[in-house]
Amino acid sequence: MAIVVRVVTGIAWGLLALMNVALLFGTPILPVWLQVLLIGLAFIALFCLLIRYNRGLAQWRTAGIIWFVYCTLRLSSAWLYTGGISFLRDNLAVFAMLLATEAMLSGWFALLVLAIRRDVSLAYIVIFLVLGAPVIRALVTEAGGVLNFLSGQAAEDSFARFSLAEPLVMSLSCMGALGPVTFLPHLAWLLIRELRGH
Amino acid sequence: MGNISAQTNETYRLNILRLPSHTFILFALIALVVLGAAFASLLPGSQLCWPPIVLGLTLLPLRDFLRRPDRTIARWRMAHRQDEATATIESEMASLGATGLPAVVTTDRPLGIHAFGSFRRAYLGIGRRLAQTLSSELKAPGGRRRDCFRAMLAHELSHFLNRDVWLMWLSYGLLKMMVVVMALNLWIGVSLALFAIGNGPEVLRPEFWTALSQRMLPDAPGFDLRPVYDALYRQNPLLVERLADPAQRLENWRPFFLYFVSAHWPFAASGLVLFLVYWRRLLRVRELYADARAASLMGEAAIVREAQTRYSVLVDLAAAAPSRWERLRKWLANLPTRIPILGKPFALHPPPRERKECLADPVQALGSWQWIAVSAGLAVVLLDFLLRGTLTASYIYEPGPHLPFLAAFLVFAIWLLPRVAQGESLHPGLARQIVLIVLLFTAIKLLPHLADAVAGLLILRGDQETWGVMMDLWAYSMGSGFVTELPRIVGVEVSWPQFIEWHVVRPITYFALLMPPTLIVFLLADTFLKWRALTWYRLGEQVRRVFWGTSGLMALALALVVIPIYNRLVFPHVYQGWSVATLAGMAIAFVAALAGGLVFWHYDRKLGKRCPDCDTAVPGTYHLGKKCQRCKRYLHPWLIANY
Repeated sequence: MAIVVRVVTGIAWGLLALMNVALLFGTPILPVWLQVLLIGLAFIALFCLLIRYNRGLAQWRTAGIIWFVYCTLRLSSAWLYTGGISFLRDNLAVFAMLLATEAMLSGWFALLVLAIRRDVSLAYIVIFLVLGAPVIRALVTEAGGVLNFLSGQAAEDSFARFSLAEPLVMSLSCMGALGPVTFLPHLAWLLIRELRGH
Repeated sequence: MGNISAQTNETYRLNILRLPSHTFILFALIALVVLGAAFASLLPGSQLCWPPIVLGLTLLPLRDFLRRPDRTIARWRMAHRQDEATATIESEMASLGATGLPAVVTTDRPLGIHAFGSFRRAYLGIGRRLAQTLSSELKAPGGRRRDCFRAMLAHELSHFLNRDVWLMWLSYGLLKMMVVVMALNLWIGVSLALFAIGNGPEVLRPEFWTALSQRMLPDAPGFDLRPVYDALYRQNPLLVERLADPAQRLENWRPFFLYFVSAHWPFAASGLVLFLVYWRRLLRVRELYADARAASLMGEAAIVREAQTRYSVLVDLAAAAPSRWERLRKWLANLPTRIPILGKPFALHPPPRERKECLADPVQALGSWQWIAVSAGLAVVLLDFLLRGTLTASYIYEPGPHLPFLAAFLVFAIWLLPRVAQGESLHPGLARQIVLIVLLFTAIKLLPHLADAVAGLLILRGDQETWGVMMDLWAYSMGSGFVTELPRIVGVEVSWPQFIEWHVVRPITYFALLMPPTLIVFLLADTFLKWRALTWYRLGEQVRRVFWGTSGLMALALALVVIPIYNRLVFPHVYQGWSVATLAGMAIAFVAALAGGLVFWHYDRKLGKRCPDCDTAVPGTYHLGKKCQRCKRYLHPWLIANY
């Protein structure tokens, strides 16, 4: 079993690296359907790796690091996109965006496995309620009013800008959904453990 | 019971461990304040959606409590180790003769002996250094020094046997979750208010909804969200106009501010008092009961006192230099105790002198009559504040006077039980104490009503118009500003004499004239019946069921007969007429009281004043250490402590 896991992990790492490299250099020349296929394969490989490393991911610090990586990649992507150099704009900015998307999926997965493996339901609800309100107010201010916020009309091109509210909204929405959902199962598990006396 | 025979008449100590504890009373008072407000939402007339409140305030503390052992183990990096020290400590605890022994978990971090757990999980956490010292001392040949170390283990084991570990952490969970839920409620309320005030000028205009419709569905010219605005306007035109006016932003904040302050201060004040006074008292009292249990396990009180002294020296020796964070935590925990004069009630551990006195006279663990009157009175006043706050008063109308009445009766009845069990007669000591307890409790209960009375006098003598506006503002704040206009109720719809009669004179009449004599009569009757039941020697320990039965029946009669009658006499404008449920309740209570009385009379004739062994008559009343004159056997030996 251990050998199978090792082989599958190796294949997944290789496939992920290969697909990302292919997308980095092939984006301007490859047809769209092939790009979508490559992205799909990269995501499958990533999903395998996330399941393989789920234990390590189910930690607050890991989730925090992943979302920090997402911020860095999105910041890089926005900076490369607005840099004015065509290669950076067409290749590296898109590649950074792809990596940011992978980081985002990993961040969501980390929050999910953390909520499954550990009873963080109340912490999720509290973080969602404490940070949710100021984040929404910041988003409304950033969008230039409630009308722009509700109609999704941003002041600038979303690819070219990045704000801290973006990862916050994504992680908080995940926490806000997972917190109430995982509360009762974890409580039931606590009660079962209590009845068993260990 | 081997040691009882060695005791003289002067040294009989009451076995408080067989009677309801002071720890339980404190837990019940904390639960009364925290859950009283939540469970009131279940009562008839409540306009609150009860499931989130009741489930929230029961499931969240339960979760916190059940997670506590794992968190403590993780925090101190404890583990159950298969080493010699652990095995020695576990076998020594088993030799103390208790069942359901805790698992010994050790840590490399500097820690004393720490009993923790939940309902069915029990752990004894010990620092490795201390565990090794304990183990080596316990392996030594028998002697006074070894017994001293056994007494340390007996004390910690006693926390589980007394079941105070879960009382302590469950009450902590209740208080913690009340604070967390109310803090979140305040934060969300403030955020929503800021959002409404900040974006009101943009959103509460008809053009906004038309523009939003065009942006959402630009290809559908007939689609218009304007009716949403019209509906909002129709519901509350004044509020929509006020929030839409950017010039009134500061003025709009005022009703929200008033609402937030008036809604949350009772919870903040109650949380602070319960945490600092009641919970800390619970921590101190549980140590006194653990001492009593340890003395009972060791069969001697002196060894427990010696163990306390030796343990404090050992812990000091084993303690490493605390980290900055630990120093800060300790400093914060001890901060309330530094308050001059008032600091003593905030201590986390009882002083050695109090522990010594309680071992000598265990009834002292129940505290003075002043303490129990003040603690019950303060709890009832705190609950009153919670139920009369702007967050609750406009939604919950019951339970009215039921809670103070019943809480006082049950708390005092439980508190008086050890004195009755000691054989104290009603005349004159106990009766006088009952009267004093009830009077002090009444005085505390009346304090908020007297403050209302002073305000009433000021109103009648002063500027009634201004006071009327203030009262209206309070009513206005209940709706968090979401009313069409400032209501003019007091002084206009309701005259001032009427208002003062309903809110000041009648409550004071109720709690000053009706409650004290009723409580005194019921407590005297309850005490007399228990005192009488103590002479049913044949029942032995089963007499405790009679104690619960008498108090339960009395409480039932109070709740279903006496209080409903008083309510209709004093508050006819609130409690109008007699519903079928009320009459049925009265009938049930009446029948139960009658049946209970007949059963009591029957058993009193059958079992009263007869020796369980030789069946001869035992004249006189019961007192602690009483023996049958013929067979010289102790009567109710279970009430006599064996140390």
